[in-house]
Amino acid sequence: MGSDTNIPTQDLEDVGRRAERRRRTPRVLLVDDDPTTRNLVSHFLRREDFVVIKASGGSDGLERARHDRPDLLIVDAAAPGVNGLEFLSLLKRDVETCGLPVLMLSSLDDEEAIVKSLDAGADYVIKPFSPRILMAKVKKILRDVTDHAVDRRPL
Amino acid sequence: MLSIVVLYSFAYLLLMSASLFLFIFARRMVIQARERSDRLVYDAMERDLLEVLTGDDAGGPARAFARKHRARTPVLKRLLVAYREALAGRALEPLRVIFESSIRARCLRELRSPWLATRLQNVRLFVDFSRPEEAVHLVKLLHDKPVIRLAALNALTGIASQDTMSVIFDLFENDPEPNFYAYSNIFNSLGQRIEPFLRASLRKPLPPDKLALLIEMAGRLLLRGLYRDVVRFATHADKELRIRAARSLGRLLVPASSRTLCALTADPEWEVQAQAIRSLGNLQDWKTVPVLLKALFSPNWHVRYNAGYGLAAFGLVGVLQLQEISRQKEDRFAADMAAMVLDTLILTGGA
Repeated sequence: MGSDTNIPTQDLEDVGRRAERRRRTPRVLLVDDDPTTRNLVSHFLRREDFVVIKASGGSDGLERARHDRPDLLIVDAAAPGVNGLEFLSLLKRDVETCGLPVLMLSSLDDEEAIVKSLDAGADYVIKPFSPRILMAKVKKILRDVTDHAVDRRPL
Repeated sequence: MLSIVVLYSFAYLLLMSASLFLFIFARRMVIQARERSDRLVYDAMERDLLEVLTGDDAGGPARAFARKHRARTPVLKRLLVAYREALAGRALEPLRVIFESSIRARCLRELRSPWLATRLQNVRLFVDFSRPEEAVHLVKLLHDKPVIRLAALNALTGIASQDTMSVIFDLFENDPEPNFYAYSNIFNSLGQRIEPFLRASLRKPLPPDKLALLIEMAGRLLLRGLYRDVVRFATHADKELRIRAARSLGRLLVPASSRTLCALTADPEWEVQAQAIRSLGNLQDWKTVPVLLKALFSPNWHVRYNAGYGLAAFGLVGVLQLQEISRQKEDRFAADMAAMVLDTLILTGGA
């Protein structure tokens, strides 16, 4: 009890500021079985100060999405276990996760898969991808989500 | 005495088995150690590469990376293949610099490797990083296994400069055993850009099978600028070339070709006649209706079949003509064909 009072105010402010920054830093859940894509995307995301949570498969990704409530999910449409479209439908069915924005990242340039993903409310980026375009899309999605949240704030 | 022999044999077998197991065990240990070491090198290289990719300057850091890691060529190749397949756009530029300044020469040599996996790994790197002058090496791989052939095709179409196309056409013209399927895929992927090269090749005295592919490509790629060059083959002595010319004219749909196609309907070979009739059907020139009507009375089934559907393509007028022919009694074969076409139209809702 006494030790609490001994913590300098400056340190407490620092801790508080760090916690606030962590709260504001967007968190991205990356679901991809390919380690190269995982490392590449997470490197670019971290460089932009995003917090990256990685999952190598669909079922693991769903678990992390429910548990961590990220601001955005980047999902490989051909992820093992639960594939991208199944993942999307399971995500939208869950009250906890239905509002999370999703960006599909896949080497499948199949028209049907792209249309289904877009219909389900997910954006789509085809592999191989330009990191600059991917980052621009990520930022746009997060900006849209923030704007939407601000618009819906009660007056 | 016997027991000693048995004992020695047993000991010998035991020794052999033990040494064999020891060899397998030692080999596995060596491989695992190498894999672990490669994994560590790969991870370190990957970290460095990611720094290069996120840097503002592509050239300097990429060259420094190449200098630092060029000694571990197999790992570097694996890393470049993985990142080449994941990245697009400007992000490929540092990879190109690394490839150019470290392993290009070795990869080029290893395109001739007896191992399929090695050839595939190397040709994959050339998909994005090949130069026009390297088309010669890549074309040789068109005779390789399908997976290598596909990668070589991707590499060739990726460097579709004027120089590369010129090299590809030279190779095609001089190839003693051309893989026509592979070449048609290349031409198809290159698209309408090949028109000047195709024109030049069509005017050369090439073997008929090569000319046949070129004529076919002119039609398939809708190169109407090559109309005059294609028409020339309508009177060629080789039957196959006349067939290809008729087919291409049916795709190019130049109105002036109706006269050539009408002339081909009187060709001595039924295959040429059938193709010419089919192309006339595509052309849908009212002046050719009498030719199609006449062809419906041909003794050859294929010619009658194409004429029937050619007439049907004219809509109501064609259908009425077919109905009339189906009712006449003079030529049972023409009547049957007309009836069959009408039945098909009714069944498929085309009437």
